[in-house]
Amino acid sequence: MLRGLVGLFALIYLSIRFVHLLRYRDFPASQFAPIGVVSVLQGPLPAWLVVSLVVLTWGLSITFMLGVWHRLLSPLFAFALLWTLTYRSSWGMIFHTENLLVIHVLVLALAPSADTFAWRKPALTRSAWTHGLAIRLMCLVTVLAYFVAGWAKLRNAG
Amino acid sequence: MRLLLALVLHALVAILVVAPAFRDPPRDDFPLSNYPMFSERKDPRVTIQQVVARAPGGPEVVLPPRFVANEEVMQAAATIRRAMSAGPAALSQLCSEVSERVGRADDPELGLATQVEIYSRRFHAVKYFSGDTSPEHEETLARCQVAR
Repeated sequence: MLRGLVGLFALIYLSIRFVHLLRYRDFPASQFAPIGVVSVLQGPLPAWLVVSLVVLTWGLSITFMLGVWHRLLSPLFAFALLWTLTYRSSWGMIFHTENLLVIHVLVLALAPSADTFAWRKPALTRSAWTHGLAIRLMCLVTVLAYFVAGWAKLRNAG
Repeated sequence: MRLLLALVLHALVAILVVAPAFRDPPRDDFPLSNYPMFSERKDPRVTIQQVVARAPGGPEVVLPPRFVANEEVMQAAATIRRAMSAGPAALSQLCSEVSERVGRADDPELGLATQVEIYSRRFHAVKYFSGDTSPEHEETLARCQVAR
């Protein structure tokens, strides 16, 4: 259920930002400042590839939300989301508001999070402890992200 | 064994998340960050570009980003910066485009506007938000008539 909710959030977020994400195909190469996984690029991607990746990410958010072929498509979605949003932040301004969304999707995509609310439920049953692991990791990441921000603020304030 | 693996996983993730803040110098990245908006001292003086419409004898109206590019503030800012980098001809072209949109706008505040101006202005952020919104310094980048 948590994966479904996070997937729904990602789907809505990507839908709202869809046109905005496509606009980066027209930005001049001089403004390209790659970060994170996009650092492997020497220059901006061709426009057709930017559009394809945004559309692919949007489509995969639906399969992630529904738990379709989770073991294959959810990690693919997590990486596509990581790439698409990192690409968006590779033009001089990093959108920190998207950090936790990406990390939470990564955790859920790599965890067994499609055992109950899913298109095809797996035959095996896992313990609540196993399912709780991803939730605990998400909580840890959330708390630490705010800790880092708060710690930086206090350190700066003296 | 399962508990040990879980603890190791949690520890690794925790180190990954906090690591950017402890690097020297701290490093901002995506999706792991040191959240520099909190960890750097900000210069209160900031230079931004503004596009304004002006009616004869009236106050200037700072135009919203949709007159420059679209609803996205950052993209409107990038459009002006790009025109600045390209030179006076590009700024004049941008000014003309904005003036056409002002001329077509169904906005009573802009109904009497006759001129569009693009400025680069330096503000003191603390003073600005204390009520003194006048720029410390400004440079006119382009000026054009509103096309009606």
